Parts: sequence; structure tokens; C-alpha cells
Amino acid sequence: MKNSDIKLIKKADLVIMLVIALFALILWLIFFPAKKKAAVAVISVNGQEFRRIALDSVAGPYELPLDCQPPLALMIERGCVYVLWAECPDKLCIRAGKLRKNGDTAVCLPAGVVVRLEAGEWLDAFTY
Amino acid sequence: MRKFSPLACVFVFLFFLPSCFVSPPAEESSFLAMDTLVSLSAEGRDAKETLSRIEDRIKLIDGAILSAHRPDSEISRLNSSGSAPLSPELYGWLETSLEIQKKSSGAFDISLGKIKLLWEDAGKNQSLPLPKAFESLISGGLQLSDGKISGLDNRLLDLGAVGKGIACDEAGKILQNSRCARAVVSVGGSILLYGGGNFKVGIRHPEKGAQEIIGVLETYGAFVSTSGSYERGVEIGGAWYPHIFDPKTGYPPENGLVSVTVRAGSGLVSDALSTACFVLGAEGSAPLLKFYGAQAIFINDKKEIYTSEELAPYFALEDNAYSVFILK
Repeated sequence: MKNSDIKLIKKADLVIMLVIALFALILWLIFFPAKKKAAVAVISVNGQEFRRIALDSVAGPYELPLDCQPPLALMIERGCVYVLWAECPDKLCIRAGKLRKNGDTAVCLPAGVVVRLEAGEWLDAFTY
Repeated sequence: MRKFSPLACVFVFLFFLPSCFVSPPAEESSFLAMDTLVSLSAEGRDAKETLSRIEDRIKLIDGAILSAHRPDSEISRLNSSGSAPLSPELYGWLETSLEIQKKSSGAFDISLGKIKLLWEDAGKNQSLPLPKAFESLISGGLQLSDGKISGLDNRLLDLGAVGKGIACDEAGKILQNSRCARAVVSVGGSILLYGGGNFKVGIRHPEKGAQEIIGVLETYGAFVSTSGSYERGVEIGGAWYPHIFDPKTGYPPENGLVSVTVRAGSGLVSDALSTACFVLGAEGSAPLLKFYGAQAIFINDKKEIYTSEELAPYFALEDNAYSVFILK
């Protein structure tokens, strides 16, 4: 068989290739959608995760006291969470203000409490 | 001889193509250490084990070496004895810190422990310390020789201005021996951005809430640290005195700066330089930044932002009340 007998790509091959490429693209879009996370408040006390709250689905504002020493309470609102009151001396956790966007964090070192909105896509890190 | 049909080749290629798009498993974790929140995230086949190794390492160097609160840490033992043989790790960190102290003409100082305690007391007593209180605490020359540190006199070592950066460096070493392609390690405001591609780093707004950003810096993998006057300090008679001190006076510098963010090739350097540059001011920091191949963003209380020339194209301002100037 001479080399010239082998025709590299026929018209039908092209059509099949395009169909396969299109099929692969559809599969890829189905199985690997853009990672889009809703803001979830992750509350942990002394290194143990205590609760996860999806802030988009909070019906109305409510107070959430945490079982920690010194005592502290969070305010959970639709789309935001913040430390309402704390009996720690420095009140740095209250100064953290309202946590709204992914990556926002409030920490109370004396009580061992960390409230963090799960890291999102648009920022990789935050320096302060 | 049988030949492969080109179509078969295309088929095989397409079959394996999706594997290029599958991102490796991503892991996240956070814990309290170094008096702050440490957050880790990594992508790679061994991400989970790597993050757990980083956590162990950071907790170890905090508790066993750097912590000023634990009486059995190496720093605490050194402070109580005045001089003791140093572990190789601490020796290395002190060596680099003392080099920065020298290169910054004393604007950076690792022996401000007592000055910090005096300010903490001042906050509790609500009385401003007099300059005389600091006279004997103004740094002389610390010396490292024969595996020991000397010249501490009545001062106390405090590695608070480099500890978070050191933690990032240690995390970086672990990541280099892992199969992680990309990772972000945040130890308080000190960050390690590890791996390929660019990273978007939010810089805290100095006036608004603790979660607000003033702008976004896009950077390649590097170490980034910020020193801000809003972060830690004491309030006396309604005035705020940040825990950043000019080692020559014992008082916070009065140059109008509210925050300095530094990008460097090492965590210790970025952390130390953010403090040193806060004391030196935007103009005075240029030689120090140049020596360490570092860049900085300075924000002052007149709503002005001065950025190193290299960072300017990659800094996106989010608050139009501020103006950006380029440092030449």
C-alpha cells in the first residue's frame, strides 16, 4: 500500500470529530459547572465546627447564643451575621462588624469562637 | 503494516481531554494559633494531609518557640534567663530579623516586648506613658554569636512582628514537598500565595468595617503582609494608640500612615518590612524595599495610597474617595 493511498481526513471524519467535540463540551458543561458557592456562615467553638448556616435562607433575624466562656451571642440575619454581644475584655469580635461576603471572619480568641463566611471565588485571600 | 487511523487518534485525544479540566481535590481548614485565625486552603492529591502537616507545624513553632504567653516557649525562657542557647530554627529567624533591624536603621526591632507591656498597662490604667518610661528600653545592639543572643539587657524579645510571616514560611516549605499545585495560607494578615497563576488579594479598608476592602491586588505567588494602625492597640482618653512602635521613641509613629502592605519573597521579610515601612514612611522605605526586592502599598489618613511602581498596574481601587499615587 502506497502512502498516497491513505487520505488523512475525509469529510465524514470531520463531521464525526465535530459531533464528538460538541458531545464532550456538553458533558463537560454538565459535570463541571462553575463553582458558585452561596454564603454559608461556619461557626466553630474551640476548634470544633458547631453549626453551618446558609445566610441566603435565613427567614428573619434571630439571636444565637454560643456555649463558650466568656459567653458570646451572634445575630443571624438574611445575608449577614455578626457578634451581637460578648463578655470578653477586648471586644475585637464585635469590632469585626457585619460579615456579609465570602471570606469575612470574626474571631473571639478568649472564647475560642470563629465565625467565617466560606471563602468564595472572587478573592483568594484578604490581608489586614 | 497496519496504520492507526487519524480518526482513532482524535478519538483517543478527545477521550482523555476532559481529564485536563478536572481540578484536583480542594481542601480547606482553619484553626487558632499565633494569637489569630489561621486559614488554609490547598488543591492537590495530598491536599488534606498537607494541610494537616501545616497545622501541626504552625502549632508547634507557636507553642514551643515563638509564643510570648506560654512560660515554657523558647522565647519566654530566653526572656526570663537573659541569654540561653538557641535552637537552630530560632537562631535563623533571629539572624534574619537582626539583619532587617540593621538595614532599616533600627525602625524594626524585635526587643520591644517591654514597651508593648507598658502600653498594655497604660491602656488598663488610662494614663499615657511618659517618654522617660521608655528611655532605658530604647534598643542598643543585639548580638548573635556562638549560638546565643546577647545585649538584651532589661528588654524583652517579642517576635510578634515576624511570627505570622515565619508561620507562612514554614507552610511554604511543607507545600514545596507536597503534590499541591496551589495553596493559600493566611496567618492573620500575613499570607502565603503558593503555586502557579495569579491570586487576588483584598486589602482591608482602614476606615470602614474590618471586613471591607479598599482595593484588590493581583499578584503571582508570593508572601503578602499588612500592618495597620486599626488592628491592635489601646484607647486612652478617647485617642487610639496602635501597637506599632517607633523603636527610637517607644511611641507609635506619627507619620499619618494607617496601613502598609508588603509583597516579598519570604514571609518573615514581608511581615517585618510591613512594620518597618510603617515606621519609616513611604519615602523613607524605598532603600529597604529595594534591598529585599519587595514592594509596598502605603495608605495614609489623608485618603492617599502610595504604591510601588511594580504593583501599581495590578492594584484595583474599590473606594473612589481615595487617590492612588505611584512611588518612583
